[in-house]
Amino acid sequence: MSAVKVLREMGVEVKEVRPRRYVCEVPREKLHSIVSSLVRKLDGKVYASSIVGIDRPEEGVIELSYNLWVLGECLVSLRVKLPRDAPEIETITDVLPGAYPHELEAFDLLGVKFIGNDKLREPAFKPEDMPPGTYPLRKDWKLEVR
Amino acid sequence: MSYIEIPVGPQHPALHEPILLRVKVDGEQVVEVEPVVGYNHRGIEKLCEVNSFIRDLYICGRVCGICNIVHATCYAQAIEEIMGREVPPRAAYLRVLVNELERIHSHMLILAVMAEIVGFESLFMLMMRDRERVMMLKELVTGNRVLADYIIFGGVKRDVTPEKAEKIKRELDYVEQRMKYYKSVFEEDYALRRRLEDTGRISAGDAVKYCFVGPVARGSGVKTDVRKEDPYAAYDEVPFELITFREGDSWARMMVRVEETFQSIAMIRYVLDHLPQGEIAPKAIPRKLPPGEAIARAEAPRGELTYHIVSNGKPMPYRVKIRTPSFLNIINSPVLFENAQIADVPVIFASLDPCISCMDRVLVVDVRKGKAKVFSMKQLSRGELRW
Amino acid sequence: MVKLKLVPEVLRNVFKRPVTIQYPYEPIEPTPDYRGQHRVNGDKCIGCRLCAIDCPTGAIQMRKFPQKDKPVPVIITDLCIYCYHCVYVCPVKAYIISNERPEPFEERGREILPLFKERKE
Repeated sequence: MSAVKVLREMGVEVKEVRPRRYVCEVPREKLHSIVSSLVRKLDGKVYASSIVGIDRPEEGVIELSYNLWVLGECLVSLRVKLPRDAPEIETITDVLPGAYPHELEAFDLLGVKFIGNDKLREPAFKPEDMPPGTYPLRKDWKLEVR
Repeated sequence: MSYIEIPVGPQHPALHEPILLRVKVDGEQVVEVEPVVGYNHRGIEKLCEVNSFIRDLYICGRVCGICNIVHATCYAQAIEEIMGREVPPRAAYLRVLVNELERIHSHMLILAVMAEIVGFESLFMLMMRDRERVMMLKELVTGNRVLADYIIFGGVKRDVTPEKAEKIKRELDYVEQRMKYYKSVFEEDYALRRRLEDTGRISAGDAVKYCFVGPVARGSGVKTDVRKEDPYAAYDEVPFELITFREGDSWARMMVRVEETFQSIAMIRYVLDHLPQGEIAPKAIPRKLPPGEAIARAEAPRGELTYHIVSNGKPMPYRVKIRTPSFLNIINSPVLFENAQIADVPVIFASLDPCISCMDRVLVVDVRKGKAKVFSMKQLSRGELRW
Repeated sequence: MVKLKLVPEVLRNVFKRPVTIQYPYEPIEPTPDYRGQHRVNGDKCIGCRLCAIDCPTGAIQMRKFPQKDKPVPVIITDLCIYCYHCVYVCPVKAYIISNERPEPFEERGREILPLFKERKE
């Protein structure tokens, strides 16, 4: 059972960018069910390589790219767009507990809330003196270069 | 029921870099471990957004001192994929050569550090003496022992002459003979086996679910290696074996690293015997970055390293995301500490090969004024940090 | 049977010299490939400023000298990280490399000026 076949059976449009790299655009509500079907059907072969948060202020979204590596096969990149003033999405740590560091970093440095993950805390990477609510990786937080 | 919480770190003789492990104990038995990170955070991802992509090559090469060649290789690969450039064959083989030299010295370092943590200082000193030969080889090929600055977009900077190739092979013969002796020490010595065996066990299915990468996953029997599954830079032409062990404890993880050292020595010999002719780099560095996106993966000595770069056509990249292997291995480590004793905590932690500099990325805070400021590399080197 | 593997090796090493080099009381010879202090050949430079634009720390300043009509690079050693990108990117190979170790210094602001050949007036 290949990962691309599982995704196409679920009705997701899969685009091949180059060998071993596939990109899919996924709506926000369906992400958790897609990830848990992938983990269930390809048992023991899927892990979360990274969750990349990209701030796009001119479109008014924060885009999250869930990069999942399927052992022996390919990298599947699920793209989700969240509204910039209320970025919230369901956590995937109930099916993939190893995704906790990625969600911690996205929460701490970009401000994305993961519903259902109660171990997120702030500040985790930022220094403790930084007031909570400042997100350095957003484009409106300017780097003070003297 | 109330437990005693023991803070291990951020300054501790068992750990080499600053990290805080909050260990909750009930007598000698460990109940829970929580890592608290962020002491070495340097703000590199934000720094890469305000500098041009050519400067970022040298910034990203300084994320970690031990695996700096792998960071530069992975970054250069992502930029080359956005530009649509190929690397000439001789340069691809030379990139394999320096990446494997990096792997040998990094594995010898963590084997020596593990010996020091269990108290076996003679083994630590002997391994560091033999590791000096590999550092000298790095200086021969790249010009410096630690920060190599060897990779450039489209190739490598220096060539390897036949005399240098002979010297590399002679030194590697000596290193291989010493590594055979150290392998027999790790397999037969009574004290080492008692300390390392049966600590931090994890099964193969759990290792994938908890997203462990590198020798930590291969020590539990998971067949994963970026060089085999997703080959880059001539790894599809150089033959080697994927090393896995079944036991899943700290001893198996260290033995994976011992066997990988032998594989690396064999790979370097193959590269030196089969170096193709040709140029090693383009005449002029490409100076325009077209819009696009790329995800590059490389196998660092500690596991899978990925760079996700997004570009919108300007010379400064729009987003550079670095996900290092220690990021996953360290923050997901609490699952390994079940049923451990206090004395096993440094052993299990060192068997993950933690590289804290790789994991954090710095912010400098002015505590008096209550403000936080990120300092660029230019300012830090100009000495503008005044207390 | 309890096996202590390192005992024969350690006993042999008792009768050998120590391998530690007591630096800086004992000198270390730099290898010929070491990336040491580099200098600019002022006559070859064409003033394209590529090295100054690309330098990761901004350690190169272009300055006018009486021996030449175009500005030539000056290296500020406080900022230089010896990555040799300037050496690599120069289109006319105007940098002279060496393997001397950069000396330690006490005051800041030390600069390496470009070399010009003596002009016979």
